[in-house]
Amino acid sequence: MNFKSGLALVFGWIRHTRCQCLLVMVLLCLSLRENYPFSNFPMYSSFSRRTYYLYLADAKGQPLQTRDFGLASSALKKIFDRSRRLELKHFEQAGSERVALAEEAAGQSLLRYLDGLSAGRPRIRKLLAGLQVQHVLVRQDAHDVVLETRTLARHP
Amino acid sequence: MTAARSIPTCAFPERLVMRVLFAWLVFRATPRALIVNGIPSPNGITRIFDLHFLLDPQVFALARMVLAAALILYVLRIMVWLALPVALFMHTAANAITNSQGAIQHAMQIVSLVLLAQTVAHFYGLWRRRRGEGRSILEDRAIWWSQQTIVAVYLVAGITKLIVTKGLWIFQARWIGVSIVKSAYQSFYDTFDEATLQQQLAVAHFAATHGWIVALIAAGGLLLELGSPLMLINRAWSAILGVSLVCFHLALDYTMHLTFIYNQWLLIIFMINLPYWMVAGARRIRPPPAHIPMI
Repeated sequence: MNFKSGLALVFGWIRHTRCQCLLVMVLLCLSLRENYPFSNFPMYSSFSRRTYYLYLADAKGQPLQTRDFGLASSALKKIFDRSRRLELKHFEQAGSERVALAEEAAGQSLLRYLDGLSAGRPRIRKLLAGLQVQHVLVRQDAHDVVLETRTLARHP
Repeated sequence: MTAARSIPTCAFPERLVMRVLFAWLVFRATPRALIVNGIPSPNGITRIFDLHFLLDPQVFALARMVLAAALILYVLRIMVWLALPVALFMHTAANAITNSQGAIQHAMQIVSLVLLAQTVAHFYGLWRRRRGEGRSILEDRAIWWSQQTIVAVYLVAGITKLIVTKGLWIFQARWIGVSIVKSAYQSFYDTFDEATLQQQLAVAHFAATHGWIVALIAAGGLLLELGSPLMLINRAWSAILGVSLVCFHLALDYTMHLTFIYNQWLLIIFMINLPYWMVAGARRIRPPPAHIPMI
């Protein structure tokens, strides 16, 4: 079978299959990737020995419910991730300090986002004074999971 | 007419239950209010249309009312040609805005995609009707395309895992304990539910110490995703794999607090299709008298 007849066979099958919608949706989702309403659904598509999460704390370091800011913690992390990616490019020449600097800058950017969110929402505005962004590194060490916490940014 | 004949048919009660439940799901899957800070990171259709007008709370409240009206028309099968595009636009626009905050969530895409498939199926059906296709096929095609779209979502999720990890996803899954700890604490900081945190940390500890057992369980999940097209063979395959996927979601909810409630509902509505099995079961117990026609 040559290439031409193989191609004709594939197109013939696509024309007559009952599952044209399935094929089209799969192709659109894989090619358009993260473009709502399409997605290639990359959540948990890979795992590594280390990851991290964020939480918000008041001026005394007491954790606050992320929902009080109208957000889920997973969304908080994704907003931070986006800034972190941008800041990593910005600090490309910073050598070994690059990641730490980018994460601190992304923490500040997250506080600015929360500032914007508080406009016209006094309940959120009340929580902002002294607000801290805490970063917790989670890593697997042999059979133990170890957590390391540090403060990335503080609201004035 | 080959394509039309190959579309599985559903009885009126099945179609009605599907319509009512899907309309309710679309309304539930549309945010009640947009608690956002503008559209800082446009995604999807927000790149094409300027949707800033929806950020005005009064406009958004009105948009939700329009959505409700469209969904009522959809359920009643009145002016579906108008109801479906309106519902699709409102639902997709609202969720595209919440997904344009720099944080892409994956809960609502499946609902929007099913709505998109139904809209395209409806207009394609109208076009086919002009070429002589029967009227009754219109809604059956929308259901059939909805089922294919649900399958597509699972299949894409499975394929992406293989692409991203170059086929090593199952091998990497032994580190899932780290992700469970992350999810457990993220959920905890949402609700401060200490009991759930402890339960999830116990699961994470098990995963960290029994990596290969967890990898085998994860392999089962991946097989379900990649095998999801089998749901399109017939009603029995659809129901068996539909129930398996709902169980898979419940297990993920228990271990990682990943609910994917809309996926579960869509599986229940379009794949498991309880009304059919209830009627089929009742007929098995008490067969209808011979003179009453079967639906």
